[in-house]
Amino acid sequence: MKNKFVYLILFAAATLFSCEPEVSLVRTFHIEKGKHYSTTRLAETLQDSKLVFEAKFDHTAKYDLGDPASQSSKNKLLGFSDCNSLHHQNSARFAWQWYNNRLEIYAYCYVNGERVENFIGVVNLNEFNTYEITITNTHYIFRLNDGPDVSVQRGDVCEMGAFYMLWPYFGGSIPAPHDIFIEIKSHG
Amino acid sequence: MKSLFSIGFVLLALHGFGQRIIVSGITEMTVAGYEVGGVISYESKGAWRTGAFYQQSLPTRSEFANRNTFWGLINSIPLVKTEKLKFYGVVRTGMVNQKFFVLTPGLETDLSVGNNLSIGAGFSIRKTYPSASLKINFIL
Repeated sequence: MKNKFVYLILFAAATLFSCEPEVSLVRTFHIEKGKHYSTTRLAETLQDSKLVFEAKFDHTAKYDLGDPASQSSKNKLLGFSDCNSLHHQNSARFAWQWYNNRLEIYAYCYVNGERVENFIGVVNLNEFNTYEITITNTHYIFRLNDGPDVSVQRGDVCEMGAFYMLWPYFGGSIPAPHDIFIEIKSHG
Repeated sequence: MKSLFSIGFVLLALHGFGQRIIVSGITEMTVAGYEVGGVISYESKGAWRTGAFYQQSLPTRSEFANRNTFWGLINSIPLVKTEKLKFYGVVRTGMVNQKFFVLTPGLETDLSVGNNLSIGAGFSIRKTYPSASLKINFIL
């Protein structure tokens, strides 16, 4: 009986560890019509000084909210709260909006409670683009594909603690006008 | 020499009360690659375990993966116990790269293969994805 268990564990080990794990995994986040938050809901903390992922929007990223003020309200893609801060105090995220008939990407941060939005670039629908946020001692460095770095100064935060992840969210105050799908490929 | 005797005395005393010190080697496969490391833990008479762990990631082919260290406290609660086989609920709390606080829940099985040796396999959630681990435990 004991030998069987040993063989079983050895077999499981051989199966599990026989090749290098696939690093990139794709998740589809779904924001339902009338909602802000996306599903799947996940709870996780950042584990590296660099957040790297790829994201793909499809035709559902197009929307018309009727007036320019609402249309320019930023929707959140992915990011994190800074060290032990609430995300409306200190955080860094990529944000997006459908504006001027194109999909615009922004750096979207809270620094000591002040919101900072910086335009980064434009992406096409139906293709993966690479997004990177690097945390330095003083700044968040945003990069979209091979574009130029966009940096935002960090607030007064601790040096070690919890950096909770922030997942796709529609709005602003107006919820999603229709179902929206975003594919995100994690890079571990 | 004196300290060796002291350690030996403590281990004997613990053993007398059904308590043990366990030193383990661990390999974990996460979504970001492999990590290897060790655990030292104290096991109570009721098979509850508490201890400290240290893991380091191995180099990978991914251009995005960094080499990380993960260390902290590990606590295991026995869910099912038989003479040879135990199942544990495990929580690891600690820091990655001495900066990022991480909490990792998991499940682990432990099979005794000798008086002072056991092997185990585990499953936990790292970076929102499942990870698998293998452990070899030396009971002091």
